[in-house]
Amino acid sequence: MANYLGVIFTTIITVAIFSRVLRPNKVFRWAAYLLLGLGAGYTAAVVLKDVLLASLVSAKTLHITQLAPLLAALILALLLILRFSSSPQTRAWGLIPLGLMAGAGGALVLAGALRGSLLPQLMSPSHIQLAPHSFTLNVIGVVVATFVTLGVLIYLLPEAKASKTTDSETAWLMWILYGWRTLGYWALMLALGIFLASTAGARLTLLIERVQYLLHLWF
Amino acid sequence: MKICPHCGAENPDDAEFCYQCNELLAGSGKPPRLLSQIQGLIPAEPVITSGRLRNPPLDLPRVKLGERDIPTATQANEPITAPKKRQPSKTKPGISRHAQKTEPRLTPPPPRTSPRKQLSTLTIVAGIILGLVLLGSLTNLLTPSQPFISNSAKNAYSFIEILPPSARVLLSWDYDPATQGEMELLAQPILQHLLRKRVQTVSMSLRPLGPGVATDAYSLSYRLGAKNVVAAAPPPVNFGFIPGENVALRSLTLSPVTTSSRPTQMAQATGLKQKETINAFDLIIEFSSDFANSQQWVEQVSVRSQSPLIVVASGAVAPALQPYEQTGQIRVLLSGYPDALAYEELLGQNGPAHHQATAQTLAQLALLGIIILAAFHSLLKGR
Repeated sequence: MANYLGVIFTTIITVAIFSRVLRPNKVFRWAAYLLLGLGAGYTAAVVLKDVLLASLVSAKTLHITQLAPLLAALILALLLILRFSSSPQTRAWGLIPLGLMAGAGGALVLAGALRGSLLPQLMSPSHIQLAPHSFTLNVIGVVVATFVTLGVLIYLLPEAKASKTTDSETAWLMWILYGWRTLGYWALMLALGIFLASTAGARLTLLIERVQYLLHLWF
Repeated sequence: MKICPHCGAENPDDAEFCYQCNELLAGSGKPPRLLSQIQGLIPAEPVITSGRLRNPPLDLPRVKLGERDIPTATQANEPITAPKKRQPSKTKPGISRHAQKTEPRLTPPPPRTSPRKQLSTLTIVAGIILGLVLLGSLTNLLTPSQPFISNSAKNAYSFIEILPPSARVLLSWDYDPATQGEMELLAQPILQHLLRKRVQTVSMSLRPLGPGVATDAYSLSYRLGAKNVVAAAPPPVNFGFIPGENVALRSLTLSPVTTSSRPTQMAQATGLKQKETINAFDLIIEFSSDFANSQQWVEQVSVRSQSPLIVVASGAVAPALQPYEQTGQIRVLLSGYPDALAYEELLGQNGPAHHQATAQTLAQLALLGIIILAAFHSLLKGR
């Protein structure tokens, strides 16, 4: 009986979510709120069980020296609660854990971004290999990639600044910039098109999985 | 009662469009829901298409569309001339300056598709795709005889195939139930392969819902796997949800055991010591539907670890991760339905990806057709 009800409920929720395709409606909103509420409740339960309670339980088996980080975390968490105080002086104590979180997290993110993303990506044109045995082709590849990237940058620049210098003597320069800019525009559109197509493909897979799941439940 | 300025029909006060002619009613306080959503996608400035300025001159007349002013299409396409010097406006007697500014413009609005027409088009498109998906699911006509096997699938297969039975593999489950349908297609054959190799798998997640989807993926793999394979595989260990994202990953590189909320149990279950770093794992596989999580793995773990990182990503985020694969920070990037099908093929398994083949083919063809038709439509309309 419970299984049968589950199948019906799953079907109703899925159809309610899909009904958004037709138009925003109350049934969709009801299903979305239900799913959001369930997600939030589940998240809270996981955090409580797997993080807070698990840390406290495991603290019993830890050596006194290993307890120091846990104790520090506890003190910082308690300080954070002071942010709810109505007194400005008391509330200011809550800035300590916030500052620590923002500072330590920010430094880590910045260092990671520099070391893990920016520097490797800056160096990556040297790895472009259109043809492994042709140096000329590889150089052309790097030049074309750089040219197109600069075109995108020019496209993203405010054009009002560039057009300030428009006069008959520099018109040819403006035409070159305009062509370069158009190239950048099309490169950007192509990239966005690829993102859109891959997202649509991914969502189609989700749709197919849901439809097949429902068919499997009912037939 | 609102009077339509276009056809003169009477409409209720709360109407945003005329019931007679579907035109936008003047004085609708807020934009209708669909328009407000579309406006979010429209750039604040009209995109330049023919060498005209992106920022329209200040003296272009504007159309009031909801809460945002945009220049009319015909006006924006006119050649741009230098901004004219503003003439001192002649205030009409008896009407305040402010009232004159907000006076309805005299030119009719540019022709545009009404939201109802847009909705019906959307419904037709959705109906076609859904019909094809249903047809493909009910009649599994197309069975891929020899699907294309990408280099990514081959490389990922090789990485797992060469693992010794004593190897440890760290799996990070960074997706939510919302993308489970796609991600499980990819995760399932990889888990099957790990079970066959009898390696020890240690799971963790940077998202609270991650442990749940990991359990689901293991259940599916156990259900689909051969009984003797499942029985011989070592029991999986789950670190569970590890909060802190970047900070947690940095800590994980130093000591995976102490990063867990239950260090003693984890040490016993995995055989890892507290001083062992992330290099104790022979392979790291990250299942991700979010670019940010994969980026965190690359920035915090890949640069410090000698263990190869394989990212199994949703098709939606794969293009953004490809630069990391180019630089070798991600050793293999698996993504989307084609890679799931290819991996099943390499395993010699007739799994869920094979069962979707007909529906996928029909739906992808429909999508392609719609994109081509839309492109032709835009070209013919000159947009």
